[in-house]
Amino acid sequence: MKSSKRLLALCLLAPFWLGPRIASAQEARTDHQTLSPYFVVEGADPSLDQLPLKDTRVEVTVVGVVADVTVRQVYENRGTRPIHARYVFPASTRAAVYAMSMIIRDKRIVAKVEERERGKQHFEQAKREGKSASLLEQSRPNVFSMSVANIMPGDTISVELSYTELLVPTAGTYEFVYPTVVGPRYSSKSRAEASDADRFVESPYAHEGEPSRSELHLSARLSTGVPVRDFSCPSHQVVPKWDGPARLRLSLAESERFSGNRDFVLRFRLSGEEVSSGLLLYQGPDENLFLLMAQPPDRVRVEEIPPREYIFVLDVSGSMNGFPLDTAKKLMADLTQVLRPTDTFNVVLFADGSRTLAETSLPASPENLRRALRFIGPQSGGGGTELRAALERAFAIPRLEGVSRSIVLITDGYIEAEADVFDYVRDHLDRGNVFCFGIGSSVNRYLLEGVARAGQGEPFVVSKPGEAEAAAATFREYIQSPVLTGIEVTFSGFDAYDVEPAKVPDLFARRPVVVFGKWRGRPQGTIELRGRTGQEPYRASFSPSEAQPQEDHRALRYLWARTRIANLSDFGGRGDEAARAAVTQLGLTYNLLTQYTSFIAVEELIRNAGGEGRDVDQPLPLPVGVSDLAVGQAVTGGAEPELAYLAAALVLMLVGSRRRRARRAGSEAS
Amino acid sequence: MSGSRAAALTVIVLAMWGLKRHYASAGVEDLRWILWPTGKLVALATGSPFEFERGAGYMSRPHLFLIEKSCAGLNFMIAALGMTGFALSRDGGRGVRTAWTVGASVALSYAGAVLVNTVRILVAIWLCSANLASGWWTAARIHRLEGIAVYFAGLMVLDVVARRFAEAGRPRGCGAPS
Repeated sequence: MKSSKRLLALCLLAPFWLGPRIASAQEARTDHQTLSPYFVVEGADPSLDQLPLKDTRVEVTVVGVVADVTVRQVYENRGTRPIHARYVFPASTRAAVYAMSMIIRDKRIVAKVEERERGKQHFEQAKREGKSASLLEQSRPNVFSMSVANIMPGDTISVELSYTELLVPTAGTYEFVYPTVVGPRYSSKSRAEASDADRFVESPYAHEGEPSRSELHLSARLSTGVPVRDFSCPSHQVVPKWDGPARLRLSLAESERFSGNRDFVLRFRLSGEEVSSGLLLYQGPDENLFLLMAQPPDRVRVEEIPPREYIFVLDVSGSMNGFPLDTAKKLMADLTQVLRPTDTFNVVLFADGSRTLAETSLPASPENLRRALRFIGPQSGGGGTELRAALERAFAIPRLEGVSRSIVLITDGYIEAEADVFDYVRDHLDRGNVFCFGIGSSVNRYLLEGVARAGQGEPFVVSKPGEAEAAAATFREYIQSPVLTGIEVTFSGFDAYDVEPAKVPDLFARRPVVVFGKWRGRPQGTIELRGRTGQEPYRASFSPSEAQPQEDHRALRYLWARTRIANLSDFGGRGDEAARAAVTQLGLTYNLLTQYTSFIAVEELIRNAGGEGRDVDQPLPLPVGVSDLAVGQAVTGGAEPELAYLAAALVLMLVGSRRRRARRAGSEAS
Repeated sequence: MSGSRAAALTVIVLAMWGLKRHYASAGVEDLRWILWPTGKLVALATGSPFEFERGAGYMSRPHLFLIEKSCAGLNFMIAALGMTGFALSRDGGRGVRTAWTVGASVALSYAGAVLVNTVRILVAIWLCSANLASGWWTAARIHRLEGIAVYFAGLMVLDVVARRFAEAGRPRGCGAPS
């Protein structure tokens, strides 16, 4: 009986012994645990409102080639406890966020731009003191985080932010994209080494197929000056209303109220000769700015195309499971049709690890192409997204002398370490280009554009299998005959400075060459654009004296600053001190949200004495077509042993008990 | 075997069968009567909340651990119900005594299932954090062996408790069954 008592005591004490050990083991594990999205856990506590963002209202105004966007996020607390909300949301990679304000009880508080650390400290202080406050931070150039502190029960707090972006037409088609959701990102970074900007990876997600929990209302107004020839919205149902041939208003159909799980895409074309080249001037009190959009020449067919080597790098990770991978397979099949028998190719599949089709690239014979499709065929999507390792493997494939190489990356881009990939591509580019195909309804455009930019290629987005064939055809056209190469922009008699970009990349797509800059003195002299089209030299010139500076062009300040910031930090990625200081200064001077500057608004009234409240992360929907595997978090379930094992245990106990009793009876008898 | 013991054991066997049937068809929501106290005790011991997730169970995000349907402890409760019923019904008796045997068996097996399952889950969480898996010792195997060991010890303790309970509830003047 003594041993039984000991066993009983052991059982009762076990939780007290194990508790602290589990806690300390957990602390160690938390530090080593990688950043990861997770599925939302619905709390049983009715006093807590876990869905504070109720509504997003977007107003888009397109005047000429500039889009101005106002986003109003409405937060409400329908619970009975104060909450502090955080919402991670996407934006265009080109967005220059220049204003924010918080509206609380009909009072509008205009946000200030502050250095990121300082803004964070102010926000935390206001939160502790029980003041309502909002803080807008940039996690990535296309991922923002909004924090709203002290939303009291029954409160409605709106936060309004404004941004502007330049719409650059491709082959005469303008495209405006309003991303609505940040897809779940794969990260191999541990929590301990993650920066503040990386924390967005740890966002809660609803399960696949569940619609967005907050409403989306979007209206757009186009005022193009030239009649709109046609428009389309492949992502959403819209209700159009014409106010004239050059004025169009659109709003989302009522059925799209909860459609914040895919990018809103609006395309339109103008009547007449596509886009005319043009120069916009702005004359401000402190500085003057210009924007040159120079329409390139028509594409010239090159008769002698040298053989090329194509390495297709295909993402087969968990987030590609299902529809995205099916689309990628269709795209691969179409891309193989692009190849000529003189070309060579290879395929790298990657998720946690990577595999190649062959050690060296294979001739694009029908048999080898079939072999490639068989290699890809059984993939179903699973595991992480070790993109950099896959690119290392692709670049390590032995090169053939005298053959130009193109790396073709096919992915949804759901990773967190974009800058690392940009740096790698830039450092290892050698007479080749990297082209990116983004697959899905809400791809990471920052990664796609950044890799293409670093790799001197082009990004494409394929949101459904039906678009794969056209994308493959465009890719073939780009590769076979770039529009303009060796581009140079020179100024004579026009005092231009701080010109962006410093070096204009080759043009594959038929889109205008875009150059921003500042100017001094009088708008006179000539701007000359030179390059090569096919084998011929190309030259075009523009006269600043023919363009009138206009007050309407003040958005050029933001757009220039945003372009400079992009070149310094977004795609530069090195993060050195000089670049950091320059970006911070640009943010503060031009009132822009950057990696190092944030917007903060504080209501000075103390509304929640003591600042007690729960932190609530707004759950995000999974983008359409993305499966639960994209979240891919390894949750352990503690299944108990099967009944058969317990029955065996009972039999053992019974046998033991009988033997004990028999021994006792034997000893009593003797 | 006395008639009343047979009656008590019949009721207990029927209850075991009913539990097994219920377990087979129940969802997580239907098992909250046993999952809730288990989740609360585990949360108390670990110091981190286990929150109910519809259709999944009680989840701890810090521990990345889910107390789901398959770890409700019902298998233990079924085995414990049989064992305690067998131990408590030895003294025979009629009417009220039979009801007492059944009631005490159900109460003991329920309390035992919650407590022992809590210990099993705590050890499982600790083993997960310790990351002991290597070669043949996969995480699943370690988890299963741990479960068997804890349940076996739990059944032994419960056996002792049931005997004590039987002694305490034994009518005066009755001897121990032979």
